[in-house]
Amino acid sequence: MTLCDLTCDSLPQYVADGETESLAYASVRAHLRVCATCRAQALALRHVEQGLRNLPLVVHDPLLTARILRRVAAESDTIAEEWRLLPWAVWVPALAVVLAIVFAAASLPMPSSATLVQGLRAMLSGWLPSAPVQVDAVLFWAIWLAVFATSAGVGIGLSLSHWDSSASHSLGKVQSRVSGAAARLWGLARRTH
Amino acid sequence: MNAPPSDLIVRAQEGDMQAFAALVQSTQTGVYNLAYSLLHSREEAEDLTQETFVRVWRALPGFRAEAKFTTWLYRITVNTCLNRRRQLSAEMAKVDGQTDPESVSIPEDEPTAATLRDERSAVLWRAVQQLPAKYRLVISLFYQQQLSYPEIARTLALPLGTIKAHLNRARQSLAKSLRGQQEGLDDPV
Repeated sequence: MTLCDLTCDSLPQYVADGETESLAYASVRAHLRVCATCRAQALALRHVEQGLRNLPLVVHDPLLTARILRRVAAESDTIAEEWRLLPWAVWVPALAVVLAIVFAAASLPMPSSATLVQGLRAMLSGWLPSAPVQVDAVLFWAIWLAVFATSAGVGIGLSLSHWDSSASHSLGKVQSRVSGAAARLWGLARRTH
Repeated sequence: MNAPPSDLIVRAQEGDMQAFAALVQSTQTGVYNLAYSLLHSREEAEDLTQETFVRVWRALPGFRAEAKFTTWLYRITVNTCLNRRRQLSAEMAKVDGQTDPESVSIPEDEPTAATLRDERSAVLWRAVQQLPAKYRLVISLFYQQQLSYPEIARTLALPLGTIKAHLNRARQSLAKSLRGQQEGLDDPV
């Protein structure tokens, strides 16, 4: 690589930086003093730099702002729409699936509830010997089925709903609603405890 | 372009449409020019500008002040435009087998012809439009939007060295074009 090639590589940045006297460009300045070709290139780059610094902006239609705001307003209406009650075309099949899962779970052949509960009690007693746990069989199954059905219902409902999970605006609303609900439950628990 | 005041951004994040309108008015020219530099069409640039601000509206609650608002805004603009260019390439491929996004035609009517001061400015403008898109993009961000090198690097998620290399190659290419044009003008007929 010749000295001209090396200088040419540095020339655009040298000119863009205002042809400073800094030490970093000492070799460039030294070469320009003796090389007419590189001086001509520097002149051309100077014209380019001057032209680019005055590059005009493209003028847009003055009605662009109004069009943008109209489109954003329409988008806001769409987001509000997402938070209305799920349409019946979603609720009915989701509820049907949840009920089917619950009935299927309830009709499965299960080991004796009492045996299961005793096993659970023994396991928990082993972990917490000082705090034997009393678990009622009916309550145990009721809680298990309720958790299962709720989880299935929420999951199916969300997957079938029109809610756009990739929209952070919607996600922000979910976050604020969940945290609001959690705060209210916490407040209720503190008041009743 | 000056950065919009932070209280305006906060109010827009809370859903204040007037604050958002003020944000749009202060930044739409930059967004429009960035879109135009990539797409070379006023209609596409306007459409992309609208789409960009819709995306900004959706994503605004999630904006954190760690980055400058304009850096974040231009990142959305660039991504939106690049997606559109990919769509255009795919459409072109279906129509005439071309896939080169650089074959988007240079507009015949220069929108800024009235504001170009002289023939040299007009020549430079045309030369800029003929640069590859990646060079036009950094030229627009550096000279029109007046972002610094680090800001451009953050906007485009590219190393600082790459940004400087793109700009320097663009400058060299433009200098070569201008010298060629000047020699053509100087040649006796």
